[in-house]
Amino acid sequence: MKSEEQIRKERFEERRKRMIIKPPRIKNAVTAFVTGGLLAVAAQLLFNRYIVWFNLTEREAVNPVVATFILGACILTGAGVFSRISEKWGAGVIVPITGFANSVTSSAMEARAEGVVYGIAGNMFRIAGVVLVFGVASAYLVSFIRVLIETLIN
Amino acid sequence: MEYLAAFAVGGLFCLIGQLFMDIGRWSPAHIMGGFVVGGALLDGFHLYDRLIDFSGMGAILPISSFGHFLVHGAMAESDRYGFLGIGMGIFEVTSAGVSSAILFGFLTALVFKPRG
Repeated sequence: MKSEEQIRKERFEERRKRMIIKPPRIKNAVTAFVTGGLLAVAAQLLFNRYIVWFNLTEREAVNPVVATFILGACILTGAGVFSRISEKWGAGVIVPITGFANSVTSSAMEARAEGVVYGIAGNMFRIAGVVLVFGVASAYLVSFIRVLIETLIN
Repeated sequence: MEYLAAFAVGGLFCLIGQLFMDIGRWSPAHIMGGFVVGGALLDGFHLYDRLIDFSGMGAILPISSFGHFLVHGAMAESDRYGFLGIGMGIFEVTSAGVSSAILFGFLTALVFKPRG
């Protein structure tokens, strides 16, 4: 004989399972793959063009391409288009450098009402700070270990 | 051919990110942090260099290359200055990306008004 509470819990579980909408995983994954791939192809095209247009070496041409993509993502975020794009394409635009630029710009714009100093400048790295903190911490650790091994071998 | 490689590798990175988002229910901040740490770790074994040689922009455009370039700058400077060089060179290669993100983000936030 089940107690009333148990019955209520079971009913709750049943309803909860029905309420959670399962994300269409395969469709999302394919969309992200295609979007990310197309962005990479566009970057590669731009990279090859920049080498010809501005007479750059392969090493020098990386930075302008990255800067172009950051500029594009910033403008799209400012115009309010990026949030709709990232809803549709998911990780396809978040994993490339455009996601970093979007997180910088959107958190700066959200805090715009608090003023330029405490609002825009103070909140700019609220989400993108994750990238900087974890990046620097892990890169420091990795290079420390590598330098340590190299000095030990020599 | 190089476009095909770029498409495959760039797409694969985003596919992995999307799987983490859907199955692991990670937020975009978690994904970006995880990819940067992954890129730095992969560069520790020189694997990321080979990926860039193979696919060019396909491996540079994802955020994981940020971690890779952090390690690269640190290693280049530490060839000359040893342990001190890690801190001196860590932002050497990536400073263009970070500074342009700050500059463009700041200007955009000044110019555009948020909506929605």
